Amino acid sequence: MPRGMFKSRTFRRISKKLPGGTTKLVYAKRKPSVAHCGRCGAQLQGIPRGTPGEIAKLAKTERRPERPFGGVLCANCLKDVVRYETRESENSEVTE
Amino acid sequence: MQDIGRICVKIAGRDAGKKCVIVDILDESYVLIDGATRRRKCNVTHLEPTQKVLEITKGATHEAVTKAFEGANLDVFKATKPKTATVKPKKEHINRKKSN
Repeated sequence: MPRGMFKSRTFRRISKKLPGGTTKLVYAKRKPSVAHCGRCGAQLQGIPRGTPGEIAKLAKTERRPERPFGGVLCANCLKDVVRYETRESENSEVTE
Repeated sequence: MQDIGRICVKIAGRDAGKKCVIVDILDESYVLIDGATRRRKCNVTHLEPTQKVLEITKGATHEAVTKAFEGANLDVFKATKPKTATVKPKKEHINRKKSN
């Protein structure tokens, strides 16, 4: 009988074929979901999916893009934000 | 198309948010930029122009561009403050072991 916790769907079932010819059922944890942009909700690129332990083993540059707000905003949202900030600073300088 | 000497802000890439100046116009869509960003060819759609224009010659060197920025009193290059060691008061060691 499998352990009670394995009956939950947070674990996925994998049929593994052993060298002896028999088939064994293996329970494995699911990967976390894909990261999404904080502003528009689009899927972000350059961010690997993995459990916190797997991510911690990666180098810092392997976890997120090298852009400002990399891993938080998608490239299009970053462009909008930088454009808005530039125009706001321009307007505030003109009024000063 | 932008004019030479126009100060722009890069909106894409790892230099996004940094100020640069147009040094040369290569094409209808490409310009040569320099400044706080790397000296390189850049697409015009990846630049957001500002109202300011610097007086530089076409194809100016990096040193000339840096001087022009300083002359216009623009704090473009982030000056890092030198770190000074803060002297923290030493805590007195309290011997909490039970003395026999």
